[in-house]
Amino acid sequence: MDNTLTLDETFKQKYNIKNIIKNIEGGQKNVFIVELASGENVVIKIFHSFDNREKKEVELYKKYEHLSGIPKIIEVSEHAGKVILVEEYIEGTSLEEIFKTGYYFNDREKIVSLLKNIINILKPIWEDGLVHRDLKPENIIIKPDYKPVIIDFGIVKDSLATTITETGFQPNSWKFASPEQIFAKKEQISYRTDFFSLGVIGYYLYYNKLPFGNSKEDVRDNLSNPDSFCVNGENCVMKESFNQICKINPSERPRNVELLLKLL
Amino acid sequence: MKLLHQLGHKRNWNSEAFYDNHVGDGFIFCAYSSDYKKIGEDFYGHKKDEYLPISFFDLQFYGGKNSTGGKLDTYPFHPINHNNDEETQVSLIEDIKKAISFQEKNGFKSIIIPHIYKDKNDKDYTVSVVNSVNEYLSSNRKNGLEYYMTLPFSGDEIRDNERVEQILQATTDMKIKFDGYYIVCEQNLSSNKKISEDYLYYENLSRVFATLKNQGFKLIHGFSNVDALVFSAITDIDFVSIGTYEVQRNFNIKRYTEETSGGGSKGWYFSEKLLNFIRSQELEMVRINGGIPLISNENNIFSKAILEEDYDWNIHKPEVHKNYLISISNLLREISSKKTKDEKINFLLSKIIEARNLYRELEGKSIFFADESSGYHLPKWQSILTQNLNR
Repeated sequence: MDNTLTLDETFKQKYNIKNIIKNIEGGQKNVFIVELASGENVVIKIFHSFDNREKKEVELYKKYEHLSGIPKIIEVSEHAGKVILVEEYIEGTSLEEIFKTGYYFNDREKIVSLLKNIINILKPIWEDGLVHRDLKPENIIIKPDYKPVIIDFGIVKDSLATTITETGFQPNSWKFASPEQIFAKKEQISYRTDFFSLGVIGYYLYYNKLPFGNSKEDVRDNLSNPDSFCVNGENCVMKESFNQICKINPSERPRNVELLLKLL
Repeated sequence: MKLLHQLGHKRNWNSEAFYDNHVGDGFIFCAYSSDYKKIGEDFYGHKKDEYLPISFFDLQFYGGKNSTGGKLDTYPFHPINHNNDEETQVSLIEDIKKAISFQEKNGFKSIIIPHIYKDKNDKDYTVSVVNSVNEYLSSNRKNGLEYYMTLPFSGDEIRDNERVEQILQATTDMKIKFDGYYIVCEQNLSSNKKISEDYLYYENLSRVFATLKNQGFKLIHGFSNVDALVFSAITDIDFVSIGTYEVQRNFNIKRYTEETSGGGSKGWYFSEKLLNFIRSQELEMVRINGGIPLISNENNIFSKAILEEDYDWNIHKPEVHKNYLISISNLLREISSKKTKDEKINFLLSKIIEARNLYRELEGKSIFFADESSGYHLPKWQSILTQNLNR
């Protein structure tokens, strides 16, 4: 399906758009970063379809709009039969871009601070039984004050809901995915799936490389062994933390946020 | 580690071992052998205030409405009394709530929450019950008490890695409010063998203990057999049960769902040095060939008595069981006294090597054992322990 989309004049007028800064085409939606006539920048998401998954994302943003670390919704409306979400624009740079500068490399203090901030943002969400399921550097925006904002809750899962309505959708981000995602064990998806991804992100920032291999095949091989360790024999101040957070079996990862924070 | 007498048939022997021989730290009363109307009465001359603070109570819901035997039906809330009704999860949860309340009212400080045994085909049952009971407990627990959820593993279930992980994930979830777990596990024992040689059983049950302990839960190993030595070396289990007859040392669902007899064994001698039971019929051969000093337990008055040449062996004699209780307690205490996991494992490994050498030494004296008396389980123990070193 061709997801290329341009914003016509009617649309621009309706939403007071002055300039389109960026257009990102996605599988489920088109995302535009635009400048409004007021001078304010916002994100406009145009959903190709609006089923359970998209509804969940919108509901989540609304429910947690009081949290500082996730974008706020300005408006949900319809245009030409499509659901339009106008969202706060986060001024900042993606963690992936900052990673490339080597800002976090070998720096325990910066990584711990970042991970703790992310954990505190997600804590109430996890405690409500929800799972982000796609934590990766591209989905973490670092603001100018180095505080993170988590974006793209598009595949959030309610781990407490019955699995009958679950689509079983898994992210394509194999680099940061947990074993239960790689091997499609959807009954094992829980907040500890996000814990695993955070451990991998921490390792990635610390070492400038991935812990379980650089190809999808290597990662699959390593994650299929329940005795695989994130850090093997390397002299790293965060070795114990990464190994505990990235246990292959979800039951062996920290069981709550307090224990997770204690490991950092 | 504390040792708890798992009380069953002839529980006066446990009482004597505890009060007279100073074996163990407390008791697990069982509904099968304790009449509902007599709870709180003197326990072989000992007042309630004396034994309750160090006691637990297993209501043994294992067989559900198909339970049979013993005094189970004296408990009005035991599922055995629903044998004409449909057994639903709702009815079970109601029974469980009453079981919790029963223990609270009777003054138990540590509450064992009973649960039904299911085979591995009933995939989501345990998880669902754990979640329901946890939700109830979240708003109904009493201050100052500890609550232990029962996790009964069937012999097939414990061999299933995915199933074990499913249960562990549910039981370690952030919402869980239990203080700990009371773990009982069936063993698929081969005929004529008292100790499992099933590697997956050791591997997965060790994982259950280690995972729950690492996640901060207290653990009771109920109906534990001699292999509690292995599990206690790998994980610092808080409470380990010790028992007399095999039904107290070997959890088997048939005990609760079928009329079973005790069998016709003449008895056995538990040797600390061999880490095994020797059938009493074999002792004559050992004696004639000069092997008794090699296998005899030290500082154990009951061992001395039952190794006398003219001892009239019978499985229903207290000395036979008290020899075991003292010997297994000595071994468990020695393991527990080691500070680190690797020290515990290395200690038991050295005991196993000594036992295997001793078997060879006995063979040098023309003493060969068959079946349960042979040290068939020792190489498996070595493997599982070595695998867990430095882990």
